[in-house]
Parts: sequence; C-alpha cells; structure tokens
Amino acid sequence: MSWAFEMETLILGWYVMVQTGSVLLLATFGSLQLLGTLAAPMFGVLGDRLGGRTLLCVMRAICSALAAVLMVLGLTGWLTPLWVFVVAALTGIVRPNDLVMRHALIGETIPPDGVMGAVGLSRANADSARIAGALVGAGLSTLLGLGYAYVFVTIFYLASLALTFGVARRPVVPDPVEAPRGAGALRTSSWRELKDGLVYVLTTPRLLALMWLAFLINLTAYPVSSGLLPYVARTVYRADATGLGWLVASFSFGALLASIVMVATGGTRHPERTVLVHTMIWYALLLAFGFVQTFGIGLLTLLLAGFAQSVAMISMTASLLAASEGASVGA
Amino acid sequence: MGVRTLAIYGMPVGLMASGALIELVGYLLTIGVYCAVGLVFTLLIGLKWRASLWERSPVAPPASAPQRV
Repeated sequence: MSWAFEMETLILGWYVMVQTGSVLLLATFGSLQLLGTLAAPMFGVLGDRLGGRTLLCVMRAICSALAAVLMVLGLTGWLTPLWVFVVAALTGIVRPNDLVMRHALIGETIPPDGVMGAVGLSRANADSARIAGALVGAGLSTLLGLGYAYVFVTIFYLASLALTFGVARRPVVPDPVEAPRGAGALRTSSWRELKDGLVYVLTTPRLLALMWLAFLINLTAYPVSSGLLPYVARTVYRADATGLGWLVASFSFGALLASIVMVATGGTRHPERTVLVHTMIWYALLLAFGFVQTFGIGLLTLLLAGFAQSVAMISMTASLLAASEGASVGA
Repeated sequence: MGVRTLAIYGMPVGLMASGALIELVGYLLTIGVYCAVGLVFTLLIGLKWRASLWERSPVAPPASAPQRV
C-alpha cells in the first residue's frame, strides 16, 4: 500500500507542479489527498466498531478503482490537471485513514509491552516501501510516462487489497445500547463514543498535550517535509522527477534508520520526553533545509530530519496508545 | 481511536496555508515562519504539560528483560 501511495503522490504531485507551475495548486492537490481527515473520527470509530480489516478492504478497493481510472485517462491521453484534482479528492476521502487503521490494528492485536516495537516495525515497513515507491515512481514516470507508471500503481493497490484479506478477523464489538440494531443505532452509538472519547482526551493531561503536539506537527512540519517537496525540487534545486524521488527517498531513509534503531533497542523509557526533544530537532533541521541550496546537502539534511521525525512519531504513537488504554473506543 | 485522528486536521490546513504564503512572501520566509511557530509551540506545550510529559516516571522495561537486583 505504501508503495502505491508514494508512487501516486510523487507522480501526481510532479504532474501538477509541471503542468500548472503553481505552488498554490500543488498545495491544493496535497490538501485534497487529505480530504478524508474531515471524516477521520468517524473512520476511527467505524474501525473500532466493524474491525480494521473490513474497513481497510473497502478503502483499498476504492483506491484500486480510482487508480485504474487515472491509468486509463493517462494511457488514452485524456488526462488533465482537473481530472487529477477530481480523483485526488475522491482518493483523499479514504486514503489518510489507511495509516490510522494500520495503527489501530496494532493496538487491537499487540500486547502493551510490545507496542513500541510493533509501531517501530510497522513504520520501518512503511518507510522502506516509501523509499522504494518514491524511487520507482520517479523512474517509471520519467521513463514510461504517467499512463504506464499508473499501471504499476494500480497493480500495487490491488496487491495490497489481496494481502488485506489475510488479516485476522476480529469479532465485532457488541453495541452496548439495547436499542434495535441498524444504521440509526450505529450512528447514535458512534457519536456517543466520539463524545466520550473527546471528554476522555480533555480530562487526560498527557493525552491532551500529545494531541496538541500532533496537531502542531501536522500543521507546520509535515507540509514542509512532504507536501512542498515537488516545489522545492523544481524551484530550488531545478531537478526533475528523479530528483524529487531522491528527496522523498532521503527523508524516508532517515525514517527507516530510526525505525530500525527503535525496534532494535526496544525504544526509549521516556517516550514523552523523546517526542518533545526529537520534534524540536526535526523543526531545527527543516529550518536548515529551507536555507540549503546544494542538492547533496539538502538530501543529507532531509535524511537527518527523517530520522528525528521517525523517533518522535514512533514515541508519540506508543504514548498515545498507552495513554488511551482503558478508554472508550471513541478515544 | 476516533478523537486521536483529529490531530491530522492540521495537515491540509497547514499545506494550503503554506502554498498561499509562499506565493505571498516567498519560500524562505514561509519555511522560517512554519519552523519558528513549530519550535515555539512545542516548547510551550512542554512547559504547560511539564508534569505529564517531562516528569513522568520512566516506562518499566518488559517483563522478559533481565532485572537488576
């Protein structure tokens, strides 16, 4: 799945940047890919209620179908930036919740002692796929063009769907309300769970602090280290799609190294401190990256930023899962 | 799980704002503003929730790890 995600983001991000030349439209494209964040709480609650496996299968089937649409448009020469925006918006409704559901599956299936290692392993897997996905996506797009590159994206989405069928089924959580079953009952129960979860977060200082930090990172750090990279590659480094692929792969390689270190060492005994310290290091490195004009030094700075990012995010995910232990499913 | 996913809301907002800001004030200033805001607010979060984040006792090692006597 991460291969397909990364190939898709790189190929389409580069296409939008080259075709429109506008950083605002590039940012719009990036935001459309995250449209599903608006429905994220409901995806989370639905995942808790129906099971991550079912939800992941549905989401991945939708992604496969939409990738096939772009493949056909690319191969027939009918692709325009408008089509890319439409499909990005539709894919974006389901795509951001895939990673969330993956982490939820870890919470469902791994005992608390092993959460840090399991999160690290999951991220190592995703990071290695990102490196390969970015480099392969850039290579295929440069060599074969968008249409043929999308044949591979579609195949990877279908493969991830097939593999998801192998995830163990989890029994459906019984609805605690004795009301008649149906969509209405589920909706009422889900909203109540969401409200309970919100109350739990607001009354648990550690969880509230981590949530604010996660929001801040998503607001200010991730746009710089991921969404704007096609602009940086084209405008700052005058690179092509392959150069963009190297930038993305460099950040992911740093993240992969950190994931391996976290898995090998079992993580830190002070995860909250680690989150704070490594988040600040990450920001400092991104600031430095903004001023770097040499491609090689830019790659190195992104690699270090990716390392700090991964240490911070693995520790944060483990802390969030630990802090939510015993809470209602809506937390 | 539901509420934890709310943290992702920041990303589309931050990305859109960065695109607009780059067109207005340029790339370098935008990166500077984003990183400065990030650093300052990380520090503020660490200070405000110091007891919950910084002064918590260390997480116990897994039961299978050798214990010091």
